[in-house]
Amino acid sequence: MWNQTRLVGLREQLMRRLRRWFLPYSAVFANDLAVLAQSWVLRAWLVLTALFALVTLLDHSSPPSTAGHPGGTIVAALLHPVDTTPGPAHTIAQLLKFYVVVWVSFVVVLTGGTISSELGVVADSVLSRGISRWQYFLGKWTSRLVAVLGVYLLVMVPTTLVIWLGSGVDQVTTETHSEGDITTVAVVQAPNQFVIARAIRPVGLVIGLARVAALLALVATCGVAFSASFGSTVISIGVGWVSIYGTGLILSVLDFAYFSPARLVQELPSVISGTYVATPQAWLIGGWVGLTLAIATLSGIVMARRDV
Amino acid sequence: MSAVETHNLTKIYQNRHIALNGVTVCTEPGAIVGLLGPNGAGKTTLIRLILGLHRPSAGWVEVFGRQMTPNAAVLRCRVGYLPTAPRLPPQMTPITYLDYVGKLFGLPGEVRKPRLAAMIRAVDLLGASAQKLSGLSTGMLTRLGIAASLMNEPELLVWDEPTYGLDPEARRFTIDLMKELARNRTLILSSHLLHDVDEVCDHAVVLNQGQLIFQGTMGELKGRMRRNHFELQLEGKTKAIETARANVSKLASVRSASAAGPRIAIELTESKDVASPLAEVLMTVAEAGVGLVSIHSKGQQTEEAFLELVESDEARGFTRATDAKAA
Repeated sequence: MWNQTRLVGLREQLMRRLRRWFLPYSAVFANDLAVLAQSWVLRAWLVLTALFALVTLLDHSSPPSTAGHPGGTIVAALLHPVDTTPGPAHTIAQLLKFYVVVWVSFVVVLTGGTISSELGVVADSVLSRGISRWQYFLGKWTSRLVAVLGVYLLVMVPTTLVIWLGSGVDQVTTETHSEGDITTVAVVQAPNQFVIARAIRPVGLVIGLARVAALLALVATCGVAFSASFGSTVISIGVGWVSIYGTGLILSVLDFAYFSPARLVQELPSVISGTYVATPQAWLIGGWVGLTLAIATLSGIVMARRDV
Repeated sequence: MSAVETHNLTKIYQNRHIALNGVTVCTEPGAIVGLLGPNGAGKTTLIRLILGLHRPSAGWVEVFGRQMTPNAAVLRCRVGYLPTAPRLPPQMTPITYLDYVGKLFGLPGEVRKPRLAAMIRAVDLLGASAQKLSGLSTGMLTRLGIAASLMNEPELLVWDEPTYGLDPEARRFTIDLMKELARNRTLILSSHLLHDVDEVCDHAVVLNQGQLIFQGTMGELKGRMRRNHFELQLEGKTKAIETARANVSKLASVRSASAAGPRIAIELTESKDVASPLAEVLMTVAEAGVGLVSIHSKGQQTEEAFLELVESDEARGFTRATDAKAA
């Protein structure tokens, strides 16, 4: 009886402490999300990504072989001027490629001012309260992650579903590769001709989406890390751009392409269509998630030690 | 146990600027301390170190017997801070802002909600409670900042220039509130307005160029002053006032007398007794045929005391470094 009472007391105490810890964190998290929701950068990014997805969808629904041909549409020519195998996997890969190459710069802008823009007077009125630097940093970091990944998933999940469900697969053949992985090839019926195009495999699609999500999370974390380390938003955004594109370039140029965004872009159509070996994919995504966590921890330490 | 104690507190920014140099202060619980000093003296740096917003380059800060660090959230739950001209999130309303501050202090909803309602009423922002903060005046924002600093019912209040930018009515409200709050709390008040400090505080800490130059009661601060300086406000013809000044300056007990319009500033010779020479001066003035409007001791003004402290500290120059070493 006594033990039970003590246990209940301990549980209540633990819950109180958890609530006490969670409240300041959730306040910063919710406030930052509310501020982000009113941010023009986030709104512009959402609108642009949605618009781009719509254009890609329209292009995808048009005759697939027209791009690069004299009668092809301008949109099709812009999206894939050279590659003329626009299957559903390829279309999704195109969309994801844009996130890796172009939209990351929006992510840097969106996250580069997370903490640096608040340093000084506004931070005084937050950090002088009953909140630790870690709670503040975690609140800010997670809210930016949610915003970035939220916009990404909000656009990409419905788009991929539409492409996938409306891909019009007539015939599916399966080939076995030398590495033992599987490729699914679909024969897609176009209005006036048949083309060989890669179809979508659900697990491959999830892996493709997860790879880009992991990369975006890494970029968002770098942005928050820079904003926690530098006193100026302009500097953190500048450093963010230089390091994100610079690192991608260096990884591509050097013989260390495993983590490079270029390789990620190249592999996306194959991955989405199911041509992948599961273990390296898991290692790659895990590696990026691990790197994200490591950068977040390091910047949390920097944040906890710096003057605000 | 002291409310706030610092030992040899030093803050150097980026190895370029010495903001605070070996400051050791101790504030007893219940004290109302005025933090004084000219611009750049290190007042705000000291406050930021007390709150754990900055980390000391050397020395330490203890609040309620525990070391203050950037992650000492539990300790900050016992402190209420009002920054100078608080800049608050513009998209919030007074209600959402106080709710936010309550959450930052980890207050559960059943405590937070009634308290924020009481605070809004107490600082007279009921009519503006639904307005966005971007539309509030400086006075309203300061009042909201005051409410925010009280949300956690703190044992220690640290207010940095609370009357900055306020109109006379709002200033009076803030001073009265400080007096009321200081009855059962420790209050550290940083202000350029020495009248405010004089009215509210019972202790003073004076900083100059990052160094502590005085720590003690307000009485002790004033007691260090020139007790033999007086100013007479006269009325009468200019010629008569000039005659009065000339006659006063001839008195043996008067070291100097200077006139500035209808006022005569006099300095008596060093003497334990001030009453007799002063009576002599007043007689001389009366004999010159001018009326006396007012008389006051310049030495008993906090402003004079403060200025003299700062001046004498600056005059000491290099000897300060030697003193610090000896200490």
